[in-house]
Amino acid sequence: MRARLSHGFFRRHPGQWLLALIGIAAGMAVVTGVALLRGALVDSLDAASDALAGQDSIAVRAADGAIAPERFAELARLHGAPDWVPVLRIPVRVGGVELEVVGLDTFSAVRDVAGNASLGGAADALEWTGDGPPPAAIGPETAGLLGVATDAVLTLEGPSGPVELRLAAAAGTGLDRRLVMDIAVAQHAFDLPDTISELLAPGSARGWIEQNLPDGLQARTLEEQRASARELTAGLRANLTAMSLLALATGLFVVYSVLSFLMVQRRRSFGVLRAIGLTPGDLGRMLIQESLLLGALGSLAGLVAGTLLADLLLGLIADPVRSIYGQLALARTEPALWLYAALFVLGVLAAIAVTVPVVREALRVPPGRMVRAASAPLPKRVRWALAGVPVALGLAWVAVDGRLVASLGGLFLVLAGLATLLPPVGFGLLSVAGRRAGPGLTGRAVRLLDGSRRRLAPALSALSLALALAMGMGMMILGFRASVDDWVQRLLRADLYVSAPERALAVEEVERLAAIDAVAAVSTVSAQRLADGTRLTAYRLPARAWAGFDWLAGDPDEVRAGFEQGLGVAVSEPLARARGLAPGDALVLPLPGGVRQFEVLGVFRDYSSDAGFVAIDADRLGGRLAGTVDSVGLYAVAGVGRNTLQRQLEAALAADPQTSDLQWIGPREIRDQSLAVFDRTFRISWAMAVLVGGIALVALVSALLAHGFERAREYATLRALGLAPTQLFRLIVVQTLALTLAAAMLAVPVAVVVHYALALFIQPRAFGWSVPAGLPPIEPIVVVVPLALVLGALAGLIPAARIGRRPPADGLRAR
Amino acid sequence: MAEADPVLRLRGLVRRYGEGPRQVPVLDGAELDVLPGEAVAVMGASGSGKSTLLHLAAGMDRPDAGEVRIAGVDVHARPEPARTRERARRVGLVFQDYNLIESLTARENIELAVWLSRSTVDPARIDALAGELGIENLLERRPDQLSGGQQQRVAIARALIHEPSVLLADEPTGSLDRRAGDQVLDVLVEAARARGCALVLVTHSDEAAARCDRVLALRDGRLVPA
Repeated sequence: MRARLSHGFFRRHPGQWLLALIGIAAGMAVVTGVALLRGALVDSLDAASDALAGQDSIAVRAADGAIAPERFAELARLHGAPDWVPVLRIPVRVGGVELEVVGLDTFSAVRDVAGNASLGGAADALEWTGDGPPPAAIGPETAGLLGVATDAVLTLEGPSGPVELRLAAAAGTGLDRRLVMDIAVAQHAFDLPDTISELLAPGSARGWIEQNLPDGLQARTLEEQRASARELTAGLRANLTAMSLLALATGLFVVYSVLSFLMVQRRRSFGVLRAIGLTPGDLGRMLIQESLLLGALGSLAGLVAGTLLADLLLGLIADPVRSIYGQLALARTEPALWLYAALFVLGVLAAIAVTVPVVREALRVPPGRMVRAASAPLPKRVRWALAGVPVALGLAWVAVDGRLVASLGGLFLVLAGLATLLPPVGFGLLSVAGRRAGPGLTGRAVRLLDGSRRRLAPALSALSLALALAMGMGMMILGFRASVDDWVQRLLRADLYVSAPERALAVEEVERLAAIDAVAAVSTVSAQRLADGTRLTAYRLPARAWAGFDWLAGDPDEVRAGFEQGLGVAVSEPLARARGLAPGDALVLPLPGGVRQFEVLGVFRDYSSDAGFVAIDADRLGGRLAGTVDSVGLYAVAGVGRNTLQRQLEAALAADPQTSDLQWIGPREIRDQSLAVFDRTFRISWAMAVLVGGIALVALVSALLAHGFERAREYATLRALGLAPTQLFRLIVVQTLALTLAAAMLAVPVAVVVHYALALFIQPRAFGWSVPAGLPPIEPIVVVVPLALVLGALAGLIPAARIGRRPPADGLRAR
Repeated sequence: MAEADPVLRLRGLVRRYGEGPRQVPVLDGAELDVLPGEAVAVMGASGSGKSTLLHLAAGMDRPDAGEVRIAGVDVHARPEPARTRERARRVGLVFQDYNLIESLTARENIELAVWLSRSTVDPARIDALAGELGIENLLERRPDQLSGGQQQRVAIARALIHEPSVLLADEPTGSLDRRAGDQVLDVLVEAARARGCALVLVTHSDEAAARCDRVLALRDGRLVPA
């Protein structure tokens, strides 16, 4: 009988059941998509190593680029040396898709080092006789991504230009976005003679490697690489998780909103059932069973949608993951059964959790009162406590605990507290608007909303919060973009920047550039990664360059004086946050010439990476960094324009054939490229903001449709009394617009709260970047509010059309 | 002949609404005894507390003072869910607005009472009761396919199917026209008497009250002979 009661109701109101399903499915889809994406970000790095060389292999790489062939020869000749497998990794693009060509000694990899059969059978096919395009093996995921099959000829964009390859064989799984070739053939095809990116060795050689590895080379096991990938992408994954949980919370609000409406619709039935003998326990069990079914079906739908969403999101982050972290994203996410099971349980539990307050309301009032009238509203002091306590707890948590989880948890609590205040404020605004609108239809329409306060309150909260989240994320992204723009423009003080694509510049080349007539001064930058993973950048800076640093700690003049005298180093903000460094602290660095200790002189703003780096005076440093330069900044003589400088530079380079590979770029172009990287990086954040906004629209549609259904009898009464169909249409549209406008107005201040929480707490704690506190950008408000109004009006059309068409008598009979 | 014990006994019932100085006593020491098979009409002005009296008698609302016994059992001494189960077994309710479950057919609405009272009823008994009430051809219809009088008959069947001790009817003809109302009252009083069920009928109508064995008025929170 219990099942019949539930089934009977939902058969008569399928639309509302469907809305609740959509709400939970939408939220679960985003959570599933991001969960799969998180795993893919960590798995990306070692997919190839795992597939090619086995789980326990060790990868040896040079700290500053490729391994010189003589170094390889030296290592191979040492007594007890393992059987090294030289590997060449070449970044390439095919039609805008980032790939990697992996060149290796296929026979060696298969027989001696390989832990699986990734290349079994393919080795022979990769031999090249010199006729036709060189052969490569392609994995099924990559073939699917590119839409190609075996024997096709692929044109790739490599470092030195386009290269054609023939897809001669199908490699095993796990080689996402990678093409495998014989290393010698790859070196020839891509004009990289003798180039080696890394050496692979079996895990059994670990002891020998630790004892014999020379300076400048680093060895890492697969697990260490995986840990590094996890650390590298921790900030990005944390951000994605936070946004996905916000999306789920919004989806659950939709569910709560719809379930509340259903409760109101069924209150009379519940009252009768309680009156004639349904116990509170029976009623609670019935409602919980319904929410179990809702949660199960919604979660299943969400898992399916989320899996599809994950592959779409993966496509969005492929570029930034490559640009920022130097890793290749997987072609497709690889869902695990345990993850699906965990997400399914999360969805079901979330649906039940949302049902609990609805069930409590259903059970709280005695049957007699339920049959007669609605339950009493919460006392004001209870309402203020419900708002104030979570807000206070959230703020305290953020203040006391400096971890990222505290920022996210604190934001959740603050938003939960604010959510209880939104409805009374919103309906207060509507009351004022209704009075001001006068006695006509518009004013009446708005005033009628007041009678449905309690019913519309959850929907108003849900919609306001979702709009606030979408706008707040948009404000954070745009505000951050403006900060990055300001930082880049401030930092780039030189008139031109010169570098060589595949090598460092020698000191003599720098001197020749400095000797150009139009050049007043030069700056040099040399970067390398130390043995402990710290990024070190050696600078020689003229006076004009120092104004480019935005000092967050330390006196600028003192920092410069100390830096130039070799008294210490400067540290970028992300590194300072990660290691808790401040001016005056000691920093130990494992330099090529030995371990040295430096004093931290100052901390400067840096958005180039979330790992951060140490800046040091190049003249205080021996070894490679002192002798070579990665990039030179040219500062023009006063009164000389960039064009003149560029002409003289071109002439100087043309006169010397050894410098023919040097390239130059201006600060404006670097700025444009930086912002392009930023935009690509935050595409996924925009995507998440759009998803949250989409769920907000579901909340809006569900609330307005349910409100329309709830008011069907009232509207029918108005029609019976003489309201024309067009007037009724206008009345409903005015009501939906008023609700949407109220929600949007409430959302704006909450969006500002979200913006500052993301910019001042979450971003710094996730990525190590601080953003100057300033007024938030208004573009998201200008875009989201009108869009919400348009969509709100459209949402009102559906109930307006249905109710308008219905004969008044039918509506009067409806209960 | 020995007098039977009352199956419904109300003693010193008090019920107030509101808070503090604005508190209003709706019932102020109401008392009532109803014997098995007896029909009692309760009349009174609007807002005099008639429906409140019924809700307290059914255990749907708690009195501020006083006692309600059905078949000797103190209704309000029992906690939930025992109180509700007792109501499901011993009380039949008929409302002014019928209050049928709209998603169920007439037959299912009647079966609902059987399920809630945790008893078993032969389907033939449902058909027999339906025949007695003149709705035997309407059992497969939903409430929105029935007239007001037909819905109220279904509601009466739902109230009687599980053989309750007490039948409480709150203005059962209030939403019906005179003819339909007369028909409903006839079947209601007849069916209750036939089953030895104590009937308390809240009504505005003198004609309805005239069908009962006793007529009481609710004045100043107490029941007095009309």
